[in-house]
Amino acid sequence: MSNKETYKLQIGPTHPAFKEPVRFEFEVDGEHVLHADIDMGYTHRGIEHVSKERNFIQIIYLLERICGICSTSHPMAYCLAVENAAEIEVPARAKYIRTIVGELERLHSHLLWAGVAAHEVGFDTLFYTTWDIREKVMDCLEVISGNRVNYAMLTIGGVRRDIIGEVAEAVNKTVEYYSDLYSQLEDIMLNDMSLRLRTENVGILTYDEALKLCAVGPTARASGLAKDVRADYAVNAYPDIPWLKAITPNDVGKKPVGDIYDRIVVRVLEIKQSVDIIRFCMENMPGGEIVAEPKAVKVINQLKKVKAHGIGRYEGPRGEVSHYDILDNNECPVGVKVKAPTYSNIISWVPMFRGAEIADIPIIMSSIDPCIACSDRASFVEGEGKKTVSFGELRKLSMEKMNKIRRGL
Amino acid sequence: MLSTVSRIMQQFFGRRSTNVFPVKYAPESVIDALAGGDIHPPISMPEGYRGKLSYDFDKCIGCGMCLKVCPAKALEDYPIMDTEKNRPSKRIVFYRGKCTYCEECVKVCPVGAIKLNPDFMMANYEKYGDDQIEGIEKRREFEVKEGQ
Amino acid sequence: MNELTVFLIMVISTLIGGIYLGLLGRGIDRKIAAKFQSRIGPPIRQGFWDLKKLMLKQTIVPENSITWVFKGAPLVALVTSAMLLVYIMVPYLLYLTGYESPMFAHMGDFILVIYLLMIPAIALVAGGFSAGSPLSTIGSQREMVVLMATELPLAVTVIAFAVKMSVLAPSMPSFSIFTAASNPVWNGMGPAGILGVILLASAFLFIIPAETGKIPFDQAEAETEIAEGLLAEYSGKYLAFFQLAEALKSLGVVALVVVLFFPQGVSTIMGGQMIAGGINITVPCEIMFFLLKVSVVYSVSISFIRVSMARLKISQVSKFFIYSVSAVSITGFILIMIDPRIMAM
Ligand code: SF4
Ligand code: SF4
Repeated sequence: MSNKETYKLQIGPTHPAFKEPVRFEFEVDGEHVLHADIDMGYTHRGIEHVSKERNFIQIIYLLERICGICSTSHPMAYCLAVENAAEIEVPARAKYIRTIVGELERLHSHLLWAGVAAHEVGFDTLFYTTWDIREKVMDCLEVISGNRVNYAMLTIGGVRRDIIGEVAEAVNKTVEYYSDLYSQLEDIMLNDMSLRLRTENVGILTYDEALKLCAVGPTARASGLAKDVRADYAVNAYPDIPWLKAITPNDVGKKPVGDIYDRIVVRVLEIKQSVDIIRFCMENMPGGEIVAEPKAVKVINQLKKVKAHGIGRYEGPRGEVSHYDILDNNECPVGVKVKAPTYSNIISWVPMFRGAEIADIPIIMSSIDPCIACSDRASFVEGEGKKTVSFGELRKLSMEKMNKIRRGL
Repeated sequence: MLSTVSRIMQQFFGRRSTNVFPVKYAPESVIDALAGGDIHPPISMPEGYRGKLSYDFDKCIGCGMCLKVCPAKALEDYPIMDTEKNRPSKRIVFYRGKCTYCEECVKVCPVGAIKLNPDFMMANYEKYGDDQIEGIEKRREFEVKEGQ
Repeated sequence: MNELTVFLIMVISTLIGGIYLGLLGRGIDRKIAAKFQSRIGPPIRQGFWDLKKLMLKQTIVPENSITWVFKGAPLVALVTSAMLLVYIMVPYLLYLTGYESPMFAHMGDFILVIYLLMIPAIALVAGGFSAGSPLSTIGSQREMVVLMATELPLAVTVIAFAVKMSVLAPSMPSFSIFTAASNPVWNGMGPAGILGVILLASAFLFIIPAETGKIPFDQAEAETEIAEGLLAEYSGKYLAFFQLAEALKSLGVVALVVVLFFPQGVSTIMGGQMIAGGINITVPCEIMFFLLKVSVVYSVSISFIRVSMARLKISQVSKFFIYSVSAVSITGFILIMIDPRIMAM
């Protein structure tokens, strides 16, 4: 058995297990994966380029459409970046409402992920259950914002709708619903035998690897890396919450292994954390304005006078999302840079796939909760096909671009 | 393990979650077949739902602010002759197929000429058919063509 | 009536009823599974509609496939599944109707049933390998592993039955389904033996989904992993044949379990013929009762198990069957064997 017979298995760009187009090329020996190669760039839409032709208000809704699930995270990071650049002060009440919407989004994203992961291992009942449970938070978001997916809640300098009266009641009811349901959900997600069989000691990302590969979000936390932008670089209402901290499997008294089961643990605990944060925010919400400047046209005119650059960081459901915006005395920014969490996590697939079985591929792939549309931020084309650039070339290109922007600024 | 089974049993004996498509909106070819069965009302939309856009031609003053903020560039202006004030003005048509229901135009409009309604059944075969363009009748009636 | 005529009538009615009930069973199974998942689910007739639609669809044969194997496999699977059903059902029907004749005493040999159970699976494997796509090749490999893993517990169970039959009815052929049907295995059992039979039955609870390729043992098709695996390249009428074969096989396997473990008819339980309004309705009652038992076993071992578990990995499947299920069935076998001694003590 010196030279084993291996063959190439191509999975994707379209495959029943993938919700978005991405292509893997696996070198397979029987049922075992020897090597994985990832090929992205099937959903590149040039959003950054388009945003250079839109004004600051229009961009919010454009960025909302980077990804349907993180439709608050991207505008949040963008608004934070612009506010950071133009030094706009956000009213306290708006900060709390932003937090509530952000946490509701996290709740819905984690439940959605649980369903997808369950479907990947063939546990369709859990998929239907979690998605059924998720309906409640979607309905709540619909009551708050007027839509189920693209909330359009944020604007530069605050939020667009207030949480009062019936809406506040709906939020409180949602919080109650999830706190009542949580113990059952936790029991199902963490103690189900067939689920444990499929997820324990599969797709391991060790602490060192997570650190070295700059993993973010639940993926990093499951490996024991306590990093969470909400706690480390707190914005919105997060600094007011005394007990907020990054959740790792240590919180249930488990030594972090960095396998898929740990990722489930982290996400399930974060569901509880989110519910607690929402409850805290509802109880401690200060009064006052919800937006610094309600007139959109005025905001645009105000930002026209700014020549600065700003950065916004926010912990999305999948990890840290950061935006970098350059304002240059114009209606439109001269540069918008989006860094989505999945972008940092993609490379951690490589150690996870090492030694996996073919059956593990879908669950490992979905365990980082990938958002391909978020991370397809650049694509190199040459003629008809795609082109690969080396590290040196890429570095040169980025430096050229940066210099161009600097000269313009 | 046990809680999985208990949850499954709960679901077996509980209410189903599927919301049946309201017959009212079903394609005509199947209406007859379905008419005999239950008529399911559509789920009620919460207040403030951002749905189908409607536009009040008479209220609009043609300030053009909505054009400026619309992220999808779903609206288009056309010249008219304002008979009351006797001066040229502008009015708007909305391409519903492009609209993203962000409500930005509603918020920005100084006279409240635009509204988002709770109506969400807007699917159509024609992207630019008449019923996908809000305000097209008025445009046909009042648009001042160049050279007129 | 001539024995041959009886035989032919039985076979033809089993085939027609089997196809009908098999497809109906699929519909009911999907409806029940949907209920467990708090959905509405497709109409019960969906199985028939699917089949009709597939028959009308274009059939694509991949270019790099071995054409004759690719086309032949579905037919083999269909024919053998039908044979399996006939082979299990006809002796049982004979028993239910009380038609006794020396010609039928040997009908329904267990060993042959085991082989017949294998052939549709082997046809699937051959079809998958011949399709020439890596996904269906993986599917075929997995199907073979599942097939081999279930062999041992299946064989142990059958031998246990044969041994028991040779004790219960020494005058009748011990490997025959007719014998098993007329002498329920629970008869003359002590507590140890009853426990043994229960163990064998619980082993079968997992053998049924494995034989019919349902979650948690649907690795060969595994939609999210290998995109329907060995059926990936099949379309049109060949896929319809495979679906029909699967429906018949599911019915056959469930019927086998009912015949082996719960063969008691209404007349045995009620202790006599059923007469209503002067007409002897024993036979219709027996058939209804049999269908009831089949649907209970079907919904527990197929519908319920498939909604309450995740799909296992192929390495876990082989371990599960070779260690756990085999251990359970061998324990059951030993308990049945030593039962008379314990009773004698
Ligand atoms: S709702 Fe938004 S997208 Fe639609 S027309 Fe108004 S501004 Fe444009
Ligand atoms: S903002 Fe209102 S008033 Fe102004 S053009 Fe638009 S619809 Fe008319």
